Amino acid sequence: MSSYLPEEVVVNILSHLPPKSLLRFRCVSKTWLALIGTPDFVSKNLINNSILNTKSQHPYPPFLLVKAREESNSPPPFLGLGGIVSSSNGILCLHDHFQGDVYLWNPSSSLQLLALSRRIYCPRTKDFDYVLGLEFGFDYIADDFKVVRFLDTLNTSFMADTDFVDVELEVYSLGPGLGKQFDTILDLNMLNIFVPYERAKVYDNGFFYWWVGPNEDYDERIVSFDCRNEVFRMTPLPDKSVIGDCNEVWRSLMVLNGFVAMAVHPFRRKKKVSFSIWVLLEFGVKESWTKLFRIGHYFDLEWPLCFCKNGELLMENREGELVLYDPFTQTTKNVQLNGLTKSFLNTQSSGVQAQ
Amino acid sequence: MKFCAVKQYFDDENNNNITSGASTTMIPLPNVESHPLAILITYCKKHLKIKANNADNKKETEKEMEQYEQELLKKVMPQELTELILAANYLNFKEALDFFCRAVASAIQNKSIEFVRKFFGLESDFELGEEEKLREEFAWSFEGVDED
Repeated sequence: MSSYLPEEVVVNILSHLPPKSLLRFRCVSKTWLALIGTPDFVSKNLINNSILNTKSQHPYPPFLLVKAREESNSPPPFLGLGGIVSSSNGILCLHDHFQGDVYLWNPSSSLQLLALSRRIYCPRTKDFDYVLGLEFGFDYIADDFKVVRFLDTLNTSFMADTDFVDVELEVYSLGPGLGKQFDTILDLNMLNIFVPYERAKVYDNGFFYWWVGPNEDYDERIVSFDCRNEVFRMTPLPDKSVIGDCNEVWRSLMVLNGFVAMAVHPFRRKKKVSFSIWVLLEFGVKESWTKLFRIGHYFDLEWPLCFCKNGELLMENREGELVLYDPFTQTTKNVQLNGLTKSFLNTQSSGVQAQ
Repeated sequence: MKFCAVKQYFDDENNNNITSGASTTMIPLPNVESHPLAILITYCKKHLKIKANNADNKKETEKEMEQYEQELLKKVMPQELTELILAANYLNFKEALDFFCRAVASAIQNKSIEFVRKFFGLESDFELGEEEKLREEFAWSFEGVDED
């Protein structure tokens, strides 16, 4: 094939390729190397565009759940008891810590949609299971909501220092007519999942992702759960010589165009910190963790929240304000929001704000 | 008119002299072979037909168009795609150009760099050792590649 293709046509072809192919094709020729570039979110080259664009099929952009200060006139009775788990597609998932009930609620209609379940009485241990963690999300392909619950079946989490928790996982989906359906119970002893903190997990389009700390059997890893196929997968994190020790440095998870992204930033000790942003270009492949860019400490930022479509990173600064960071220009701009507090949750919904 | 290069020709013609025999005018297209041209004409006609059938329903148009495109790809050899791309590019036929570029991207996505070089008629112009270093940089991206 010796027909000569003009460069803009080559760019057109390459613009449809996923990051893995583009990174490989850098070796084709010097021209292709220049066209594709380096993944760094600095220049607008083909590889950066591919990380930002090729996968996006989501009809709904990521949205933040904001807990506002002002009280509503008639809050639902259960709202005072528990906490907000997350929100997806306009529905809030609430969890009553004391009774163990889970509610799905549509704030715009103020109707309680569904009380999902009470605490499960486990005949084996003759005790009530303690709910370790709860996840909630909307699955676009199945057109259904999924709720995932982690149960500590031996109530070991209250015991002294143990990384080993006997955990069972339940997956609920709502199905047509929002009826309750019990999908499956999986035994997770092998994976030793312990859901540590709010920012160490994220949900994207039918997949739940958690950061899990190291233990005897496994290194630090990201565990993913495919809700549709009910399959677990793991990817180890980069070595701690590269990203620091998890006892000193946060790992905050986010989603970037269907890829798992992670911000690595030191625990704040009364001083400003810098952030390293990594993206996992192929789940299951440790080497595919790619460091995208670094945010300097002079911006005085505290938490990363989520990525916007054009690669800008929404963050929270130390005053609790929303800031948008643009890695291509390395500048920030403040985002105005009324009545905000410091509680930002990273979720995905169609644009409903909590009262 | 989809073939913008042809449209340009007509516009130029009309500016020069007012002829009524437009339907019998022969337009020289020196850079296009007859085979890819035939495919492009069929593609264009099909596209316009589907669009007319589903006048208001954009989603239906897209769906039908996708089905037609899948069928078309089964009949076209990957090597022909380059010719089609060049023809669509010359004729300034944007929809077909984008479609065939996507098709080529699909065809090469999981291929080795040797395959890609052969496909595009390219040669490595790296210095000795430069390519080695590049391969190491993102070594994981070479895993799971199709056999040549």
